[in-house]
Amino acid sequence: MIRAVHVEHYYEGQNGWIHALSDLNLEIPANEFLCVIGPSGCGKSTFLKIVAGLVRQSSGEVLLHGAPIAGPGPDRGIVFQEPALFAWRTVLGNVEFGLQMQKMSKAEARHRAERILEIVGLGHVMNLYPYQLSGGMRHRVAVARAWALPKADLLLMDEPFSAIDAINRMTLQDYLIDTWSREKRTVLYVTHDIDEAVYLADRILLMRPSPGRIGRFFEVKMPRPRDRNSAQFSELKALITLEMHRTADPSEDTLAGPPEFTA
Amino acid sequence: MTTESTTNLQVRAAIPRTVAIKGSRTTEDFLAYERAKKRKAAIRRVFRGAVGICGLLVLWHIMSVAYDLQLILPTPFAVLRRVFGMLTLDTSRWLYGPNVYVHLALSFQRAMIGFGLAAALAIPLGLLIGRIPTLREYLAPVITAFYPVPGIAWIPLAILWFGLSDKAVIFVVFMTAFFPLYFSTEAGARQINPLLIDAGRCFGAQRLKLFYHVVLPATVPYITTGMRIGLGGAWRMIVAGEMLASAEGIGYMLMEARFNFRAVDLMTAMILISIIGYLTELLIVRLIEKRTTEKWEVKTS
Ligand SMILES: Nc1ncnc2c1ncn2[C@@H]1O[C@H](COP(=O)(O)OP(=O)(O)OP(=O)(O)O)[C@@H](O)[C@H]1O
Ligand SMILES: [Mg+2]
Repeated sequence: MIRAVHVEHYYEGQNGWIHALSDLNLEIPANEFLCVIGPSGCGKSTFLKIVAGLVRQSSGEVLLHGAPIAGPGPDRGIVFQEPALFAWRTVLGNVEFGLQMQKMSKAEARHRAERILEIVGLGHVMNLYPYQLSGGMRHRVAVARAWALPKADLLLMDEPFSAIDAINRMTLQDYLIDTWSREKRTVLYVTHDIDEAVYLADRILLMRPSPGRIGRFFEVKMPRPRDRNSAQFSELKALITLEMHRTADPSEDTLAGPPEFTA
Repeated sequence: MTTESTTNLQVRAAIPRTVAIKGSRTTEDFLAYERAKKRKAAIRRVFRGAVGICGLLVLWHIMSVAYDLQLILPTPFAVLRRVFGMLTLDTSRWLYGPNVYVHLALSFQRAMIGFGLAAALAIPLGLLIGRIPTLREYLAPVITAFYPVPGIAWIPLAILWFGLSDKAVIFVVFMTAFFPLYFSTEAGARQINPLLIDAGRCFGAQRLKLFYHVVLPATVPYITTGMRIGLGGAWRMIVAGEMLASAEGIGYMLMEARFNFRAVDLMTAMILISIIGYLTELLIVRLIEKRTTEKWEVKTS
């Protein structure tokens, strides 16, 4: 589905270039749920934006369905790290945006948007403008806007639930897993919540900072729905936490345990 | 289910009932107080504005009477009487051809045509140049070169090109209203939060759709600012243009009043200009703002 080969990315900084991604090689098979975690500034959002087609990598190649990514498009549903809502549209209007751009009929777009808004728990504020919402509500609108896209077989989500309260977050996580298991699609999910990553992912990519690069993969084989209180769950969480602390030091190079861990 | 509800009951029973402290403020008190506060503030604002205007009128009256300047500075009462007389078409000592409404309507029409043309060109151009760097590199120097030339400097050339006519006046109004409209729109379009453009593109808006559904609404606060300045400029320039290049309109009336040494008529015409200018601003810009930025609660810094 997605293949990254020798991807490097540099941003222009105040004094010289910032090496945001270094020699990123990775393959995401179709229908995989991949969670990307790592300390702040390790290039998670940058990689997501490259796949979205918003940022062009400095060198290397990123292939989507075998072809280089030409630009952004509604074949990929995206949730940005900030809500990025259109202030001039109501909540409903924001969710309908992507559908209207694709010439879906008015009635169908409305119906679909309303249904998704009910799911994210915003049925009662559909006609409000973004400024009238709380921060967490705005993030949920952004999630609904991405989920509403009919033809997106790839979901790119950048810390979509991190600003949402614990109860709603669990509901949304369950809903996301539920829809994903019913109509399979590929999900690239950035988070810094280890618990969330272990709960959701097929595979977890731990990235390392300065420069941003691949640290290590963790396969999560536990059957769903996963039990957050199981010993296996806690064990994997502890291992990832430990590994994250260790790799935060850029000089540390050896890996503890096998390079691919399976739980 | 049953066990849960009983525990809930027990929990509720364990909380002691609180009794309101006597004389403490209730929500109703709070709301009534806030309502009264708003009402008082509104009354106070109107009152203070009236005091300011009255102060000006008193000062004006004293100047006029104390120095016996009625001929060049008629008293406020004389001017107000004349405003009323003009609006009720009192024809005594009427020296300006058709009645005042005809002059006002002509000026209004010219201002609106000039302003309308300026908006029709400046807003799309501003959006395009603001968003497309290549276009900006080609056109920004051209537009910037014209900018320092004040609208009034175009009047002689306009007369040369269009003669003493409507067109000449409309042309200078256009030249005056264009720049504030263009520069505001361009700055607004250039400064749009890039994330909004990204979102628009990711959700399938391209080219014209992106301009119509994202760039234009995101720039509206800047456009209304440009409109306000452009409209003010248009009204100033209509008067200057008509004074020099027309035989009708409120500017012509002003010039004629001076030739006839009728200070009362001069000041009356000025008051009418102020009123019409205020009303057009209210009608056009405020109406747009009510339907856009105020509804979306977005403002420019
Ligand atoms: N537009 C930009 N211009 C310059 N530098 C940038 C830009 N965007 C990101 N960077 C830099 O690139 C690096 C990676 O940023 P990125 O946003 O990908 O991090 P992240 O892993 O998403 O972090 P976080 O968890 O805080 O969101 C950072 O050092 C950041 O300073
Ligand atoms: Mg990020």
